Amino acid sequence: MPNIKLQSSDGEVFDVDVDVAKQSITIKTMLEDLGMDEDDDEAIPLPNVNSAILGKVLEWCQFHKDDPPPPEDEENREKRTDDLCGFDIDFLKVDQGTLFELILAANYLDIKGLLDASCKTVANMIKGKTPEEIRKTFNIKNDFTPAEEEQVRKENSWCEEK
Amino acid sequence: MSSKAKQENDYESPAATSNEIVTRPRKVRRQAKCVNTSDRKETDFAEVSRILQLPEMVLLHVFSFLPVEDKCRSSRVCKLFRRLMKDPQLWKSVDLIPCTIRLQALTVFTRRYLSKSLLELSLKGLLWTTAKTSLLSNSFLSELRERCPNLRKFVVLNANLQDIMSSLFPKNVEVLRINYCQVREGWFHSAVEVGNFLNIKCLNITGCGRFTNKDIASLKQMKKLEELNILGCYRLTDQALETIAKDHINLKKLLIGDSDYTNKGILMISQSLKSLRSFTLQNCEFVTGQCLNYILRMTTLEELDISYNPQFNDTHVSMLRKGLPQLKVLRVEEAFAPVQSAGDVNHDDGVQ
Repeated sequence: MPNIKLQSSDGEVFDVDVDVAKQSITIKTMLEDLGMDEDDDEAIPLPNVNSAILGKVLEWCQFHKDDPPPPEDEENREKRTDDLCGFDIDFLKVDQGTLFELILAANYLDIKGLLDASCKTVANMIKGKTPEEIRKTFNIKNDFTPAEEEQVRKENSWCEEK
Repeated sequence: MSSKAKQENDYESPAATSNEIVTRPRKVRRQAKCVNTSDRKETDFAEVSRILQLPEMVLLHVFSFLPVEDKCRSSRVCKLFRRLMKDPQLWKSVDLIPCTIRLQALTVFTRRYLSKSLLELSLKGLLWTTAKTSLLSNSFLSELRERCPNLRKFVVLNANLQDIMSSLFPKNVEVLRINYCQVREGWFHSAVEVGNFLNIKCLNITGCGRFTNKDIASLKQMKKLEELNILGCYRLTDQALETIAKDHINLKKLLIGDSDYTNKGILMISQSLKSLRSFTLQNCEFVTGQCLNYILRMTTLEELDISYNPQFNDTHVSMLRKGLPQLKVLRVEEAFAPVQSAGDVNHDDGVQ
């Protein structure tokens, strides 16, 4: 298997199977655009991802390297969050800081599977909670004035009545 | 989880304010606590910046995985959430079935969130319950048509549609499901008269017992119809099947049952629907084993369901398995469980 080198923001170089790395559309496009050779010694710099996160991202890519490509036309479907595989559930059992960094990395590297899985994990942390519970979970400050708050409550009051 | 957090809070605040007379050990403890909270504040701050500092596109992606109720509730969290939650791309496919929403709330909801981006809408009313509230009104439907001209799929369950005009239903829907609703005979007529429903490809009116042969006749204008489900429309007879055989020869999928159809009706279907890939014939006590000969002529069938017809036996089933060249799925469930061979020929029989 041909390998390529990826360099994290803090300078660490990762030697990776091309097919594993190509799950990142960003890396795939870079390889194609730069016409990089597989046995090229130069490392691709990834200035937005640190080594700890890049390591995790590559671990995810390694596990999912044989996945079929995601279907194109699912955009308009009602989306589910209960379809995460066991590996992803365990993989994403991390502190919020790491979770959000993984999301940012997946977004930057354009890895749809990882972005979906990590965003679903956050969605699951929101589901079924009251606004106050959501604020607590993510340490969000309530920045509505009392009048605004009353207004938003009215707009969405139907979901409280059972 | 939150109630626990709340308790902690309630516990903390009196401790912080009311301790005028403080003994030493307590003071120490309080101090320790202070250090603790300031520690927490620092991490709090770091985390705040994290979720709220995700790019908006990414936050929208997170929100796109939330069911309707959670989206609405989350818009009460903070200004950013509220603004993002109005983004039209979050409201393309809206399933309100788990929420059993009422008319007034539905109107408020529609005005706030639904727009041209809406492609699919599913609603459930409170018909057949003790509640006396309605789900739809004619004026609501007019408004919906105006706001959401691109609606392609519309699902209405358990609603009273007796006084609702079908001519006001979303005009261009391709998929229409009206299930277990109260309707009037001839309900489709006003829609067809004004050229509504001409784009319907898939029509499912399961469980609307008031529909009659006359209603099936008004479907004639639906030239694009590919799928038709009339299970549970118990007033329909062979005449309805004759109409279908005449008007909808391009049907790919047909589900009929729970009514007094006979072999004659099945014969007409088998003679004219030459593109039929999927056929369901459930719970029709007046069809006999002979009708299977007609089904065998439907050589394009890939899927067949003849559940809840106790008159069909294992011989019949194996005859169908052998006789239909394209068949991939044969479903034979029994209403009243008895026969000894449970896992053998019956139950979701995949024909290889």
